[in-house]
Amino acid sequence: MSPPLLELRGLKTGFPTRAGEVKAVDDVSFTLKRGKVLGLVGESGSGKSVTGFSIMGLIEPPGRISGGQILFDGIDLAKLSREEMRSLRGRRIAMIFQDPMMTLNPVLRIDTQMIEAIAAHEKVSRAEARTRARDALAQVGIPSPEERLDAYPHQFSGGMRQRVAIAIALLNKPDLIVADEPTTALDVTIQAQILAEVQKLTTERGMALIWITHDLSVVSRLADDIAVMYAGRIVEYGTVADVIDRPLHHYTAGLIGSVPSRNKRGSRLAQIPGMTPSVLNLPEGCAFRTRCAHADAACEATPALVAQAGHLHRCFHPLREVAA
Amino acid sequence: MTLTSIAAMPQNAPSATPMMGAPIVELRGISRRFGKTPDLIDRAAISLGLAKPPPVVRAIDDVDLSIAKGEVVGLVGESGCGKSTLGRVVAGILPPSSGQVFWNGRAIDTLPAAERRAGALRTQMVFQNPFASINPRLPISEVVGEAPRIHGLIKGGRSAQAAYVDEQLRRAGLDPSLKERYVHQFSGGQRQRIGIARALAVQPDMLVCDEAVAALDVSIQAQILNLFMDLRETLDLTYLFISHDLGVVEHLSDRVAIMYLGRIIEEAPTEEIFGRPNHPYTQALLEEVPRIETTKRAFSSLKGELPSPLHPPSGCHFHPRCPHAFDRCKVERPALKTIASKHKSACHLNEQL
Repeated sequence: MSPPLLELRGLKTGFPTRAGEVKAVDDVSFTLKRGKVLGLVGESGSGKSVTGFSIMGLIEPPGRISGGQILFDGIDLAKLSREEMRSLRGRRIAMIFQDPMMTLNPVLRIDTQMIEAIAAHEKVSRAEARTRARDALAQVGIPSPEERLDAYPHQFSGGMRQRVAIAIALLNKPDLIVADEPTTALDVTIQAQILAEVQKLTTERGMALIWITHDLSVVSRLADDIAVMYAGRIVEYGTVADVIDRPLHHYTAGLIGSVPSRNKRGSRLAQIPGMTPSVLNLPEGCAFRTRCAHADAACEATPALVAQAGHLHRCFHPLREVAA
Repeated sequence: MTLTSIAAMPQNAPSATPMMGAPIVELRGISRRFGKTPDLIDRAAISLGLAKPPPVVRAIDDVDLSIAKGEVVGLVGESGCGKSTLGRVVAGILPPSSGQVFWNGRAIDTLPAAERRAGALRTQMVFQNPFASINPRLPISEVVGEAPRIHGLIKGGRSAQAAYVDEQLRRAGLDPSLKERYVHQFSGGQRQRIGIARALAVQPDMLVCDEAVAALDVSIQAQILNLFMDLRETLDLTYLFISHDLGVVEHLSDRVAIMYLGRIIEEAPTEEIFGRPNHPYTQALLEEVPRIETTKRAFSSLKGELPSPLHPPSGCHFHPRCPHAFDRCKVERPALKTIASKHKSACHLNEQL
C-alpha cells in the first residue's frame, strides 16, 4: 500500500480572543491518498475552512496551529518556515477559493497573473510560461484561450472566472489541491461543468483533492471519503457509501435528513433544532448534545473518535452498531 | 398598450387555463425592460444616425403567469434569467414596461389609487439577504411593527401594539423577549425569521420569496422551509417561491415554472415537471441537480453559459446550447403551448413529432 500523500494528525488551530482562545479546529485527523477526493463537510463555523487554511499555511497571526502534525509526503507542514512553505505553496499544494473575484487581481491581465505564478517557482522563459498558461486555460475548458489570456478578470463571467482560478491552481501541476467552496456561488449548470472538469483532472492526473463544502449532495458524487465537521471536530469520517447510506452520528443523519430532495414532497423536513453553537462557549463534552435528541448524561464527557470497521464517528450513542 | 385596448379587455376575464381556484395574481404579456431612456438630444442624434440607440435589457419578455389562491408556485432559473424581476412585478414593487397585472381578476392599472395601495399590502416579499433588507438601526419591534401601525392594522393603544408584534414574532418562531434587539444581534436563520415576521405583519394573502433560503446552512434551511409550510397551512397563504435550488422548489411547490433569459419556457405541476420534463433546458437542469447519491458518477455538462440578456440569441433563446436545435429554432420564437394537461412548454420539437 502506498503511503498517504497527506496525513493530518490531531491538528489544532486556535485564535486568541479577549474571551479566551477559540479552538476553530480541534483534534482533526484524516489521510488522503493520491488521486483521491476527500469531501470536508460542515456548516458555517464548523472549522472546515480553517482546516484548509491550516494545510495551506495561511493562518494569519495571532491565529496559530497549536498542536498536531500536517504530514505532506512525509514533511510536517506545521513545522516549515515561511520561506519553505512558500516554495511548496502554489507548486505542490494549491488552493481554490470560493470567490474568484477576491483572489484574482482586478487590475492585472490574466496572462500576467498566470505567468507570475509559474515564474515564482521555476526559471522559464516568458514565452514558455505563456504557452503553459494557455494550455492550462484550455484544459479547464475556456474557449479561445489564446485571446482570453489578454483579458482582465472583470471580462469573465462568474463560472469562467472560477475556471481561471482553477487553471492557476493547476499551473505547476500540484499533488494536492484544497478547494474551499469553489462552486457555491455558481449556477447549477455551471457548477456541473466545473465538477466535470475537476473530476476529469483528478482521475487523469492522479491529483489529490480536498473539497470543502456545506453541500453534501456535491461531495456525495465527487468524493471517495467524507469527513463531517461540527464545531471544530470531525464527528464522522468514512467512505461516501458509509457516511451517506449508513451514517452513525446523529448530526450527519440530521444533515442528510434536512436535504429537501431526500424527503417526500411537501412533508416536513427532519430539521435539527437550534443552531451551531459559538466555538467560544461550546457545551462541555459532545458539542452537538444540546441539539441532539439522543443526548443523555454520558454525553457530558467528550466522545473520542471511534472506529467501526474503518468508519469513524464521535458519538456515545451511534445510530447503529457495526460489527468490527 | 393603449387606453382603448384596456377598456376593451373584459375586467373579469377567466384565466386561460382552468386552475384549482381563481387566480390571485395573473400576469398577461408582461415585459420589463431596463435601459437608459434617450433624452431629446439623444433622440435627435439617433434619428440623424449619429448615435446608436441605448442598449436595452429585456429582463422579462412577454410572460404570462397566473397563481391560484392557496397555490405554491416555484419559479426556477439561473442567475440573470429575470426570475427576481418577475417576482418584483408580482409583488407590485416594480411596474412592468408593458402588459397587465391582474389582482383577483382586476387589472391594477384600472384600480383607484386607494384600492391599489390596499392591494399592494396583500402581497409581501421575503428577500434573500435579510441583512440588506432590514433596517439595521431599528429594533426588531419597530422593524416588524412599523408597517402595520402606519397602515392602521392594529386596533388599540401601545399595549395592543406590543401584543401584536409579540404575536408576529412568535408565529415566525422567534422569542418575543428579544424584540428590543437589533438585526445584527441575530443569527442568519433568525434574521430570515425576522424578514418573514415583517412580511406577515401586514396580513398578506401572498408571499413572494426571492431566494429566501439560499444563504442559509442546510439544517437552518430545513427549519425555515418547515416554517413556510406551517404558515401556508395556518394562514392559507399563496406563495411565489423563487429559487435556483430545484430540490427546495420540488419539495415546496405545487406547480413549477422554469425561466430562461426572460421567458418562461416550461410550466407544469411539480410531479409532471420532475417526472416528465419536456423542454431540453429543463431536462438539462434536472440532470445537473446535485442529489445525495453514493454511486460515483461522471458529471455531464450542458455546454456554454447563459447568454447576455443585452444580446439574446434569435428565435429560441436556448438554441445555441440546445443539443436538439434545428434551423427553425434560430429564427422563430417557440410559443408556450399546452402539451399535456396543465403542462406547457415552449419548444419547436413538440410540433415535429
